[in-house]
Amino acid sequence: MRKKNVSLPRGVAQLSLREYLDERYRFEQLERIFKLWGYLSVVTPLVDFFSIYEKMLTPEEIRSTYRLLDREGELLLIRSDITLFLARQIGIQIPHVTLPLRLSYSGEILRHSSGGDFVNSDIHQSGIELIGAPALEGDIEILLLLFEALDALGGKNVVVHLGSWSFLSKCAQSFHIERNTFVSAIQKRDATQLAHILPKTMQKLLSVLFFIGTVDEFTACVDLVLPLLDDSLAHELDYLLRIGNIIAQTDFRARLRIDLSETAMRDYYSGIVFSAYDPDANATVSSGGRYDALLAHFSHPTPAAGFSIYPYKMCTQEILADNTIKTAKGNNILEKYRHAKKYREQGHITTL
Amino acid sequence: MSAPITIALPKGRIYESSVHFFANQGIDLSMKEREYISYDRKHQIRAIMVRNTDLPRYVHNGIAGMGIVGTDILTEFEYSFFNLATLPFGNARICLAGKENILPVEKRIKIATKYPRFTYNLFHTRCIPVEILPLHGSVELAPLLGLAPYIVDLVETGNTLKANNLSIVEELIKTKVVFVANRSFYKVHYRVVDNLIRMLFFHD
Repeated sequence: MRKKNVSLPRGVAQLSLREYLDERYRFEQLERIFKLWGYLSVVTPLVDFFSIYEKMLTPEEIRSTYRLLDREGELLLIRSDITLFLARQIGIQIPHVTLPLRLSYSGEILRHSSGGDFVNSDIHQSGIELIGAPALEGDIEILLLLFEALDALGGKNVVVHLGSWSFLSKCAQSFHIERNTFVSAIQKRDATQLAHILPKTMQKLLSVLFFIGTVDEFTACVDLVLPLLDDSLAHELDYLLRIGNIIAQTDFRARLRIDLSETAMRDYYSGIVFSAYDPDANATVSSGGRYDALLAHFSHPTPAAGFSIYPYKMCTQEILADNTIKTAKGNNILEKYRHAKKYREQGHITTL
Repeated sequence: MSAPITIALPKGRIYESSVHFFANQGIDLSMKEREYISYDRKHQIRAIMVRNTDLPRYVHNGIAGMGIVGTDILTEFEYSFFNLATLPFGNARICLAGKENILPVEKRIKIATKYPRFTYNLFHTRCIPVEILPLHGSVELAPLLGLAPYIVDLVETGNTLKANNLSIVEELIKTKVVFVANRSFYKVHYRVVDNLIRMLFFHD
């Protein structure tokens, strides 16, 4: 007889019923906000042919994926990033849809988490994609939506750090530095290594590359290095300032920081990149950016931007107060049913 | 008053040097015997003393926002930290050593080590077949007792190797002691951390 095993396979999240209910509630809140902004919910396949995505993944990303053979011997990729799978679906439909397209998603991904610990590899990912919107307005739209989504989850202390992947890529190209070495030094905030690889004439740029602060502080910092930069690099910094200055006119002014050490989490990013940090949880709770070249892999080149959000990482203690389950009262099933109906009309979850 | 920031200090060879380094900048983080937590005089910094091999886990999980750790320890983890500064002590190297100072050809090499992940990755990259025997301490004993003819271990002066009649076959990497930060912690507390780093490392 097969041994009964109470534990799940290593890497699979084990949630209590209460935790599962809480998680569902958070995703319902997100879906509500996304829908209010006109982002319609879509689903993607759970598996797809690995060969379609292979060239778009770095060796490290490939190592983190889970793959399997189907009965015909085809190598399949289990969904490891919803944006990638969604890009393929959208790419097929691009010639037939009206742009801009606003989509939201919510589903499981399977991706090996680094660290060698007993951490979960199955992660619930929720997010949005904005396809075909002009860059500046599109970027601002997704940032404002992110702030509202974070608020809906009770994350009013969460701050968003905004960087520019295109600025970093152009820096590496312009200074003839190998991009991975350059990005690695920035990712580690290793000032010694970065000073070593930057040209001597560009050492002043360190203050910008490691800058974190408000839009006003960034303006002052940029002014100091602007004479060093060519038009293309200056344009990228100016673009960040334009975004920052517009966000600064909203309620989210204090929660946006310019941070050029924000680097792309995936290789397909091409413009702005950002992450959201929850000070109460010391965790990264969202990441996203612009990836204009991604859809070209599947169809016509089309501007695209979006973000993923990981609400389970957030400190949200009060959010579930109205998620309590009530029990209907009555001497028989009919009385209970009528009592429960009244509760349900008021929006309460009610059992008979 | 804001909560103190937590710095993890490793037990062992780096601990005394770390406490001394902070003391030189006027920050007393010393601990009494059997104590594992201390605060500076202003209660702005909390130091926790943890096993050096556990330290990356404490920082990765945000229990300590920052930590002082040897890069030899970090080779065993896939964690990604901010590397904010290099400490002026604790430089060493990870070496392959054995009773004989050459490697056998056409034979799988048996290696005892405290760095199994690093060792596996290094020899795997070089396409050299190895059998790795992970140990937690006194690695030099392995060749003497016949557990494995070779070891991969941290070497500071080389005196321990000499005392055990072992010689270095190859220096694999140089290591240093670094001041690391949890990425999310740093992003939230960058002003406090940057001020501390400036005070510790870039003072006049």
